[in-house]
Amino acid sequence: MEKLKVNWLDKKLNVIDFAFQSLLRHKTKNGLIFLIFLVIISIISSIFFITGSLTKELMSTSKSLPDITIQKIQGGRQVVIEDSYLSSIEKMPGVESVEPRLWGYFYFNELKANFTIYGMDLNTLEADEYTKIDQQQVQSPNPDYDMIVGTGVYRLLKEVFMEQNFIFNQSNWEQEIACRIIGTFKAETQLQTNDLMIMQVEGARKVLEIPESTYTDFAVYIPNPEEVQNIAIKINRLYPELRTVTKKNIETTYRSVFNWRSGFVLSGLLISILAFLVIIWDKASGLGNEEKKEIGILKAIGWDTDMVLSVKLYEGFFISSFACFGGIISAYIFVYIFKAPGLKHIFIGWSSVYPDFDLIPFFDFNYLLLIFILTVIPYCTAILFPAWKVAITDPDVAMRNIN
Amino acid sequence: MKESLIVLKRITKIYNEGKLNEVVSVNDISLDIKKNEMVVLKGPSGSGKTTLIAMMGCLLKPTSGEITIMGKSVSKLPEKFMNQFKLQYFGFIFQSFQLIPELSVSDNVELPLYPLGIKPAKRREMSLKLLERFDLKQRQNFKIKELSGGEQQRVAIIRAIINQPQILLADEPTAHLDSELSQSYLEYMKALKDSGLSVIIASHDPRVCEFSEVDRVIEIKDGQLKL
Repeated sequence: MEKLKVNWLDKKLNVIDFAFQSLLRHKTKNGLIFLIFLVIISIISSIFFITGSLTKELMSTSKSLPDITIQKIQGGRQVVIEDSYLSSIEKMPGVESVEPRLWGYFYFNELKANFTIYGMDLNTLEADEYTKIDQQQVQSPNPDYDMIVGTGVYRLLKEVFMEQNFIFNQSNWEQEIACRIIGTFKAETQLQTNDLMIMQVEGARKVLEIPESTYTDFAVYIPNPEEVQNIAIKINRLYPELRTVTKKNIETTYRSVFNWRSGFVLSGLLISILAFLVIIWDKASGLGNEEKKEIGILKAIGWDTDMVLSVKLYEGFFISSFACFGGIISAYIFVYIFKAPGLKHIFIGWSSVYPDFDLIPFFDFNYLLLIFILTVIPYCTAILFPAWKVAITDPDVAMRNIN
Repeated sequence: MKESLIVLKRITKIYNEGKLNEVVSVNDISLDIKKNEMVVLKGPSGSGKTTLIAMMGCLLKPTSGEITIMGKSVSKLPEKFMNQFKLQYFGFIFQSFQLIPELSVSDNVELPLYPLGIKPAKRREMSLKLLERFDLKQRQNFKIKELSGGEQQRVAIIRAIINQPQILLADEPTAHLDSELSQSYLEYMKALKDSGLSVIIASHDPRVCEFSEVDRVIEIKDGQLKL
């Protein structure tokens, strides 16, 4: 009689083949587990993607932030700051320059949108910083009122046919202010520029109603990062009415706000996570009679304990890893293609950045590894333990029990 | 004189040894099964025949004594080697057949070939050959629950011989069969014996014990040979 030789690799492939067949045999049950798994991982990954994108975006913009921002506080409110402070701060040792800034918000009722207005000399902008719009046919009433807008603003203004000329108006003004739009910002840092309107200084002063010789705040630049904190303290001591905000303060605030929000959303997921734990508990607490019988038969006809366990491990691994990768991919599509409806606004808020913006794709391998470790490994372990308990039983005992 | 196939020397099996519920299932049995023999282990329920046949088939290790199969001592082999040995030399038919109901006929009969590392195409080829021989080719994709008792019986026999064993072990194979199916079952056993296999059957069914092809009936009572 011909002797059958065992090929190690073919034996492993047979185990994988059997595990696949086994998954297909229990389609409904495994399909349900897969679906629950996929949804939970998809939501968690979406939160990670949104938080990651927002943090990355804001952190990238923080490079261009001033080392210290100085604001004037009166009665607990921020008020305009007079240019008389400028020279003394500029003369402080360690300070490279101080830039007075003119900015504020304008609420446009028709679109229910809040725009950020920033005043600066548009001629100092580099050509590659924005995309020019051909507006030759539009006559500017006053070149001091030219402006460049964010892509979100431009998109919104198109809806009301104001993408060439935007008209600012308030009931207490004697006459409205018409501004010509000469360009849009490039989409590299959308969150920062999306709701932005950059105007010539004169125009901004008029729209924001900021008197001459006053500004919204001062931006202080310090070449040595070690000196930032000391200079901020000095300014505070010299002028107690001024508030100093360092770049580090702003970065910490960004991080804590998004981390707090992601924690809040994750705790809302508690019920889903509990459902997942129930599945794991169900798996860990024992096998059904059919599964026990199957393991008993396999053992009795000559399958090793490690073969039986490998089948169970592959089954668990296929379900959980496919669900894990499926969840991550669907989260990616949900966040970056469908723009995370219902979830994005929990993170960014509704009021301050109304014009919609696209999240810039963010892919952190560590987050993905964490999700994989927290889902696939517990699930596979939960599957293996009861299977191991049955598989180490003598095949004879298993055989008797299945009779 | 025929060559010895399985030699049992003073085999004892004790379950729950040292505990209050200790049971001596097989007590100091010595036996010699020859090549191409058809042997029936006869005895009432609880006599120890299933334990004895399980030890012969490497499904269970004895508490003491030595088992030699084809000249090799197997009593103390680790599980991995024991399984290899089992797959190379033994085929099993269990009481109530013990087929996996959710699997198709082909998938059931191919189960012993997975640990042997046989590729899917070869597995299918081997199973189809036997299914044809046992007149079950048309049923290859049927689920077990869709088969009659006689067909299930044949599937169990095919599963037991697909790995080309030299020894066929059957535990109470006719326990749930009517006279007609029992008779056909015994005819299959005869055919397998004629093809060169050794057949060992544990049964208390008189139809099996009185079957004309049986070479020896060994009677067991309370875990010991009844002489």
